[in-house]
Amino acid sequence: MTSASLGAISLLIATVIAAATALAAVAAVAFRRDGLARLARLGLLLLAVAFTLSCGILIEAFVHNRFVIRYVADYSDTALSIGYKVAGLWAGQAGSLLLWGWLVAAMGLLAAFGLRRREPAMQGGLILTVALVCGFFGLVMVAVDEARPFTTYDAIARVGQEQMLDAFSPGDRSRIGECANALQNAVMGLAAQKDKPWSGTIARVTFKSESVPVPPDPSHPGLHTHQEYAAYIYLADGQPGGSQALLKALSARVGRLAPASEGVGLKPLLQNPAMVIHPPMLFVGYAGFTLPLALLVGGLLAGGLDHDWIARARRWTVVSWLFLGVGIVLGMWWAYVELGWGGYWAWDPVENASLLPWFVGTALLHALIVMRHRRLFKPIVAILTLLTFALCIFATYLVRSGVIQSVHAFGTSVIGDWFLWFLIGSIVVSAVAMVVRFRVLAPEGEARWGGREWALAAACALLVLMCGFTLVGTTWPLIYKALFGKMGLAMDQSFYNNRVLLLWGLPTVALMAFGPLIAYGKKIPDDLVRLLAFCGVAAAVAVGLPYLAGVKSLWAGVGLAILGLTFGLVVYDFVRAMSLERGQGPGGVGLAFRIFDANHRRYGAQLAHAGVALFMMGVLGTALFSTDQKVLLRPHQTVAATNPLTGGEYTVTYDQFVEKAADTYDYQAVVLAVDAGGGLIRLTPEQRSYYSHVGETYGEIDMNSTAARDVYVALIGVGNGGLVRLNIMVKPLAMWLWIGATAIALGGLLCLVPPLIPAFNPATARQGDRKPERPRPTPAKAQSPSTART
Amino acid sequence: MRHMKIKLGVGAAVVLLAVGFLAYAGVRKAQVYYMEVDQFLADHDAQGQRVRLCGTVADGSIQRNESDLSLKFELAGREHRIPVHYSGQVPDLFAAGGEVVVEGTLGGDGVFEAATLMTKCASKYKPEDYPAKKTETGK
Repeated sequence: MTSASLGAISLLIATVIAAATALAAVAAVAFRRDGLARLARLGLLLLAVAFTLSCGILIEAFVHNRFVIRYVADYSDTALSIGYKVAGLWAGQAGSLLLWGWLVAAMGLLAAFGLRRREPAMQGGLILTVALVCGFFGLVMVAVDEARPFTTYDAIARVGQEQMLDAFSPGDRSRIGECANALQNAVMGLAAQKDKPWSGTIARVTFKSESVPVPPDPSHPGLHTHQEYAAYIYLADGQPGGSQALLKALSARVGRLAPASEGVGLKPLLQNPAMVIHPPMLFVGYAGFTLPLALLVGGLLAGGLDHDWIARARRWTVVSWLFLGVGIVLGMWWAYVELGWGGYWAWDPVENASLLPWFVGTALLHALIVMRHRRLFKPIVAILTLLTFALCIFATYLVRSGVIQSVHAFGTSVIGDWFLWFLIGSIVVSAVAMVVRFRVLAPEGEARWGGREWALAAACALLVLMCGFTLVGTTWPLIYKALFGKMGLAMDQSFYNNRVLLLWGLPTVALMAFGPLIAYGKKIPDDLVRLLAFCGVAAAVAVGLPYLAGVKSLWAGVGLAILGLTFGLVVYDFVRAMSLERGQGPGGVGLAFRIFDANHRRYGAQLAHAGVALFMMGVLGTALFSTDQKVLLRPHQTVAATNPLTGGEYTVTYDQFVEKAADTYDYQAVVLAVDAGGGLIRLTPEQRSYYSHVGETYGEIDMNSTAARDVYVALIGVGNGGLVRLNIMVKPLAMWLWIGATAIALGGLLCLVPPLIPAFNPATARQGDRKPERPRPTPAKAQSPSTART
Repeated sequence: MRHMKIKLGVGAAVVLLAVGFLAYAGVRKAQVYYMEVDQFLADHDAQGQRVRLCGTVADGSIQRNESDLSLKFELAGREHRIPVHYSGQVPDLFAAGGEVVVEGTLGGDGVFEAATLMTKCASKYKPEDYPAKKTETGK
């Protein structure tokens, strides 16, 4: 049995197991028996094993260059290093679906085993959701041709040849298009059947030739592609010998495009470690957000959302949020260092699609905090949980369906329809479940909102607004079409910059800066005067010092004030905690560490908040103060550049032009000497021509980064006699984007780490906004925040 | 209590309306035409504005100006073509036959002056019905 058929069978089995597991889970909920819950868990284990097997088979096929599998031929070649071959698993649609399904199954299994001592109904609800999602992915990979990871060229050829020979009669020109399609399949298959080294290559050639128009031929109007031309020969002239002759004719025509290596391979542009781990990071996020929803379904069916439930929901939310965010930032970083336009985010629909669940996931994190401390916000948590999951599915729908024009055109695909129906189905079912079991979501205890509750509610609202506005902007072409019946609009970046970042983003960050210091339940904090005075000083210092140093822009001032507030309040909060603790034992570093250790979540959140402020500084710096000049230079000419934020002056001198060969590519490079006031810096932007991708050039930027700015140079064009066109950019504060993002990720990570000294329970917990780790689900906890504070 | 609910309802409605207005006003200000070459050439309103145009780079039409290293090529729709001039960063995947999106304005000389040039990402997911679609116009 070939590995392709083994893989296909394991997927089929996985789908069947998913269905059976769902049934067992329903039974566990209906009869509330531990045995049935155990059975459902076993089903989930088998499901995960089946998905793991499928992934393993596909990876093995990549490693051993099994180009007879279409997916392997499309995304790998013999020259790729082993790491990139394994990464081929998620390079395309079919493999990405497989990875996603596997991740849901694996994480679902972890969550289900974590729940094994809980009520059967809660386990059943969780397993049911996980099994249904996995079943959906399995079904898509079994039922939809383009989503099948294990389709072989043998199979494609058989279908193509049958169509060619049976369906199209010679002389009938009306079906040239269909015939060309069948022909393409037949050719690809024939090539693979021969089991020659070029099996994958020919497939690539036919792919590529699709977009290469044939030379205009007045005697054959209406023929656009080589396939059509070949099909025309077949149909019009009725050539005997069928597809074999056509194959020959076609290969001759497209032969000039044949590449040196085998397999389509990975574009040099994508051969970057950040780009290799960017997609799986996103998928861990997307897949992970299934679990808060699965837990919610479990909680609704079991009839209660207690402290244990909240701790689990929180953990899965933080994990998914963390991976999704890291995935997004890796994509930004890749765009910045690889694409050469000096930007990192273009508000393209595909980029926005990944940001939507991140916004709502962030809101969910904050809503869960209120639920944990005050037993309020249950309906908000439920809605945000569903929304986050739905937006992950929606992101895939948007990207795969082709309803929105994007530069990341993935082509239209029927996968989109499947995801749309799955999206609608999951929203309807979950919404009905919430309405039916609404009593589970009712608030417990006193429902009075204090300052902290309002602040967190406002944070959620602002994040949802940012999500909503991004969604409206992204889908505006569709909305416009629905409203006015016309096509042909897109959204300019200015909409997102003005209406998402400025209108809602700035208030969000401002709220973020002082929100953590507002107490629960109370309207006014005790130390209001001291706090406000401290805020004023921190903001004044943050704005004043740079002002004296020459930074006088209004927006820089606003950004710096927020930055000063955020950092000032982190310090204020820690000093306050220290002073509350003092007198209860030794002070100093030991005490500071113990306070920090007992409150990982608090300081994790503050680290993440500080990261957001730093990130915002990077955004403001690069968005408002960048300079960008495209210059024509000859050797030994000099050009000046400035940093408008700090007034720094640079001179860029073109030293020499270099043309050399490296292992896998030739390159042309420009050696520049940049005088940045503290010695000369050497920058050498390049243009590469890879041997595996003849006729294409790939730019490699070069830059020099300091805390104050990046000097970023891209080689745009090369002329005769060393004449070059360069794009010289100065990007103030760009480094803080990556530092801020790292701080956000570390903050998220810190929130997941349990205290190292578990016994220590600081007196500050009495304040009500801190709790010992892993509280047990006891009803008394619900009251504790209000009673403990007094 | 009922009084309170009415107040809350009115407040919520006002907030929603304001948010909706902000979104709508922002959208109206920022929307740009996004069209294909044939559509653009037939639409006189769009020709006076900044637009995004998508099309295919016509085979053999790419000319690089050696003196200022700018680029001239013809953007082809299904039936018509339009000359495009561009002097910025050329994306790595730019090539004849490739699909691109240019943003800019139509000059008085009938040449489209592109401020940005984007290639559509190498289409990893090929549309299944591609050849069939193309022949519709060719009959």
